[in-house]
Amino acid sequence: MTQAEVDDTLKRILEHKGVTGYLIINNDGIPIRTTLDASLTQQYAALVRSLTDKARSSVREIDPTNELVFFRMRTRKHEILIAPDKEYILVVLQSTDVQ
Amino acid sequence: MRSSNRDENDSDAFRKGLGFTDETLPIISCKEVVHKDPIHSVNASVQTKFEVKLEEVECQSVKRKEREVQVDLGEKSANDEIQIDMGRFNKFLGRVEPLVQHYLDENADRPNILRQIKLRHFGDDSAQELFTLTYPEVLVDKEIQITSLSWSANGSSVFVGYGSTSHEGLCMHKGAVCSWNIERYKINPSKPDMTVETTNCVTALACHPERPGIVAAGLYNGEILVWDFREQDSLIARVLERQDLHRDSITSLQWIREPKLSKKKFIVSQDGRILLWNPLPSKNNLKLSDAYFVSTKISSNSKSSGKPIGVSSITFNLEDSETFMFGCDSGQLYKGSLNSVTAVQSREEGLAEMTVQPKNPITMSYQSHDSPIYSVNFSPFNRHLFLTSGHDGQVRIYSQLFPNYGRCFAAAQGAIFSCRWSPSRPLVFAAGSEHGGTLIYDLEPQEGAPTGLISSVPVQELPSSDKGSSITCLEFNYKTPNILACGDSAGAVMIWKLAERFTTAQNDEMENLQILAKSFGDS
Repeated sequence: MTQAEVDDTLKRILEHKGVTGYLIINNDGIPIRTTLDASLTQQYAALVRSLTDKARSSVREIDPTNELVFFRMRTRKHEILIAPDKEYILVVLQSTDVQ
Repeated sequence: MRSSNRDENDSDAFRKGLGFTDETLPIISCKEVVHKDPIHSVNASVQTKFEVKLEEVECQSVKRKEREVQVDLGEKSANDEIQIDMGRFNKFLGRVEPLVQHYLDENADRPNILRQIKLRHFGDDSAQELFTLTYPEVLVDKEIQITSLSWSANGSSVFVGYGSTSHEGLCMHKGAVCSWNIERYKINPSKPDMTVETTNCVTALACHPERPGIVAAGLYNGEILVWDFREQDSLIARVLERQDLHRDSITSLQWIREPKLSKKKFIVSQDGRILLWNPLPSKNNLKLSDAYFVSTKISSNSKSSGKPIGVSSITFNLEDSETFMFGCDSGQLYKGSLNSVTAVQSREEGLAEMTVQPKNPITMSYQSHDSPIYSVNFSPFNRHLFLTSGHDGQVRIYSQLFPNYGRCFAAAQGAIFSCRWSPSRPLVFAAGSEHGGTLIYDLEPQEGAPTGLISSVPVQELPSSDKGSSITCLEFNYKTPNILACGDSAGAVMIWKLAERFTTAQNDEMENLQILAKSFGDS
């Protein structure tokens, strides 16, 4: 049952306007679900892991009562939305091209 | 508990009767008995006369075993060994999804607010000359120059048509079509990969945009030849019906897509006639499918009415494939439509015998140049804008909605024989001039300049092969947009690799182009 819900949610995200792909990694940095190709997935998994940790620790250092909820990186070609959580991290790529 | 000596003494004195007398006790001496071993110490030093040699040897028995192992590249998604607790995964998605959706929506609704940030280009702006392609055999005849060039479907070969532009009467020259594959490792710039000779000058050339190997050429005498270079016998089509044959040289050749039938046909413009030919793959001839005739206005008293107007250049709108612009030898500029049904009233000979009755394609006329128009080109990014260039040395940008031109660039470098928009940057175009080589214009407002002011001088000038000849034709490579081929009147084709600045578009460039197009209406 939950498998279907999971697939449904992911499909909703993927079909959103502009979304070019997503990636979900667990705490060990291993990709769980991805729509990107293998090499890109590996790259993202390794890089996002360390980036998220850095971001999380930075927020904690500034204010220990605060915590990182969500962050986005806007690049020239697309926007990378990263949602970190206790167990998993969701990374969504959205294209920012006009039209 | 042992009593001390003092206590004994005290008790003795006590027994004697408490008499305090000073006594000095006899000194007891004890002999010191020390067993000492006599220490013999001898000082001696030893030195080896020989060098100290150290040797290390490792001994290990090695056993080798060979075995081939292959990794099975399984599915890319889930790592099967990792157990995913679906329930918790679902909860995670439940937490995270609203956030993600919210920001996705925000991004989609709000326009790209960061698009105003300009990409700064580092590095050199200069273009790199890759090759200079010449074919010495055909250039023996000094009058021969490049008349047309076209990139192949996959963007790796350039086809060049040789011909002459100076004819007094009949054409006595031998023309040729040559091709070079510039992506080949060892390219010989003076030896083309493939050559075909023609009976007279080649005046127009076009490669099929989808099927590699198919090239169509128009000749000075009005003939049209279509080759398929993959076949053994290359010539696959030529015009068979004598009455449909063009009466004068072909000035421009284009492959277009027929919108209803979704097959490619090609259209040819020449003096007065714009014809649509359908190359039938089964038979070796070209069948005329549509015809248009451009003529001067009919007026009863003028003798020259109904005479054909020479059409020198034609361009098709990329979004609306039935609309086209054509420029004439007289400097007039018209918009035509493939759907027009107005009949032609002309007493021009030979029109009545054509297999398909020609029609008048003109739907709108635009402000004309004062001299023959040599080239027109629609913008690949905006369906209204097109460039024209003419003998008066002007390059003009028109919007098809307004009859007057929007922008004019006069470089004072003689006639402009060709103008083309860049396929990757909406605001860049190139013009081939008579004295100044290839001029590249960039309509992007420069940093620090007041907004709205665009540069009216070329930002880059690329010289021709011998620094003096005029550029007769130029084409951008649509597959690799930073490659530009320029053919000149000395008979050489230069392949340039443009700087990054001219090939990567800015975020807001399309919008700036739209704004430019709209501004034409205000002036």
